Amino acid sequence: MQENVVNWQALGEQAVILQWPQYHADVTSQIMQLVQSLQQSPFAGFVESVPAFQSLSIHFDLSEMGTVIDPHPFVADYVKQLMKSVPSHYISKSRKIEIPVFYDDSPDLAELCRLSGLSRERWIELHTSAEYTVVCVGFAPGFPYLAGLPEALQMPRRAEPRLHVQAGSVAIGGAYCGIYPQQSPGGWHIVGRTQVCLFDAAQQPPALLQTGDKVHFRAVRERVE
Amino acid sequence: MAVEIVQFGAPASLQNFGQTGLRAYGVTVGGVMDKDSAAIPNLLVGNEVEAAVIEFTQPGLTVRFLQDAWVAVGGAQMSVTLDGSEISMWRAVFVERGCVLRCALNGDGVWAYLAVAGGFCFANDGAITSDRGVVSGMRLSIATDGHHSTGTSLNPKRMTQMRAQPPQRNRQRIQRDGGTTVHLIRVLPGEHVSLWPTALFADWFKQPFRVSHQRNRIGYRLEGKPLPLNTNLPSQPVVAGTVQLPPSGLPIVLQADCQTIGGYPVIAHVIEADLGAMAQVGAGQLVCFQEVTMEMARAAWMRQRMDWQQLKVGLACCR
Repeated sequence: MQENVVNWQALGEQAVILQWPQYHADVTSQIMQLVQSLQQSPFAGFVESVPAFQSLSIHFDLSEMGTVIDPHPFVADYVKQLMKSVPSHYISKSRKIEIPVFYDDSPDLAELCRLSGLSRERWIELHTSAEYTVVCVGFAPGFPYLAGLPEALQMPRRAEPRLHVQAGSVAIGGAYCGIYPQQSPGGWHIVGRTQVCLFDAAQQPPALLQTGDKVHFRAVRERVE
Repeated sequence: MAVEIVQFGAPASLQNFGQTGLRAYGVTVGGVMDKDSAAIPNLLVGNEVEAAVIEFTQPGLTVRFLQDAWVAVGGAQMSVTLDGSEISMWRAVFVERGCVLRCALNGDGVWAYLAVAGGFCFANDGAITSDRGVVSGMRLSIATDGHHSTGTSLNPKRMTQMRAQPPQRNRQRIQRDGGTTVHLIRVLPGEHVSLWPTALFADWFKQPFRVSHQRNRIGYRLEGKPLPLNTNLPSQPVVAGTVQLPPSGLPIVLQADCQTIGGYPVIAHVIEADLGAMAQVGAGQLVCFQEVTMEMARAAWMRQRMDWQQLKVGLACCR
């Protein structure tokens, strides 16, 4: 793994943030590999790491850092050493998850078809034939940002966000696809609904989808699977 | 074995020092908004600093005790009565079963804390993913297993002498001509300040900002002269204390319940020792940011923990 292209900065007193210069598919797998390496061989004081689009934050506990005087460069060096030991052509073993979607329950699909010049059938066909990668989970507990939306379907976010988006809404925003795990405000176009539970606090881990997972959508005719 | 919530000022919640380990799934850390103001009442009743407390705000909180308990309140300025008679903040008070404790915020500060000996229990093992909201009629249990207690048995004669000063060290403020108060909040530089010419940004950032009414446990909006900029950055991890600059050009200071990732430029981070001071600045009041080095921030963090330790040891000697 090329550790020299990655920059680091302090994220407050108790975290380091690593930044990749640009996003591409390899970045997500590099980030996930680092997340796993850190879990397997954490430094003393390591708390957790948080993947995002082209960055990874590494959180530590100042009171557990022992004799380390300057923790930020120490953590950055530690991570860069970990990166060196990872082969650059590492292929991660991604989980594959299928999400059934009821496309008939969509307030925005007709408008999206009109704007993109695609028939409804073609739009759904493109949406269901693509493979998506979870690049990060955030915005709300369990909300996955999915890369891999076909270019023909990409659309800027709504000018006016909705105050209430139903739980289970499958949506697109810009180049990404997402699924709202809970009812929340949201600015993305809703293309359908799923019955799949994306976040359950009682489960370990609580989120169904994790960074690095591969996702497919499957069209269903009935609301309940 | 419990207390019953009679009345509260929204939003009241049960908080400890937050929960890490789930940020990668989009779950916020949470925890009290002002650690000093929760730590001191906890120490006064013999708990560890991070034991679960009830955090509340305007107009206040009314609680009926269904059991005997030692309690202490701290945080925002308030009048506290026990069955109608006034009691002091920042000291341990014995509450008999059936008594009603009434706290009414009436001055400086935003967030207030009620600690009980033993600490409150979370319904779901303290998991932040469970509902922490406090509502009228709700009954909250007090821990009896001593999990959060420092292990000292409570001697009633000595307990009544347990008192402490409100937090002072990390609460810097200056009086300006005309009597306005400006809260000084120490910050570390943010990574996106290089998006602006250095002098332009520094000049803008030194203005006093006014805390907006748009504020909650997620973030505080600030008002002042805007510094607009149109950028499109990929979302990246953020933490409580991160100061973001949305397209409006007016900063948002992220707080305890902030999202795990954010896409606005990061212009500063409030140092951890000053997060409580920032949270306690009321709407309409002024803050000035003061840049410090990482060494200074770490020293302040260390000092804050030493103060808690010193109070803990001091109180233990009196017991």
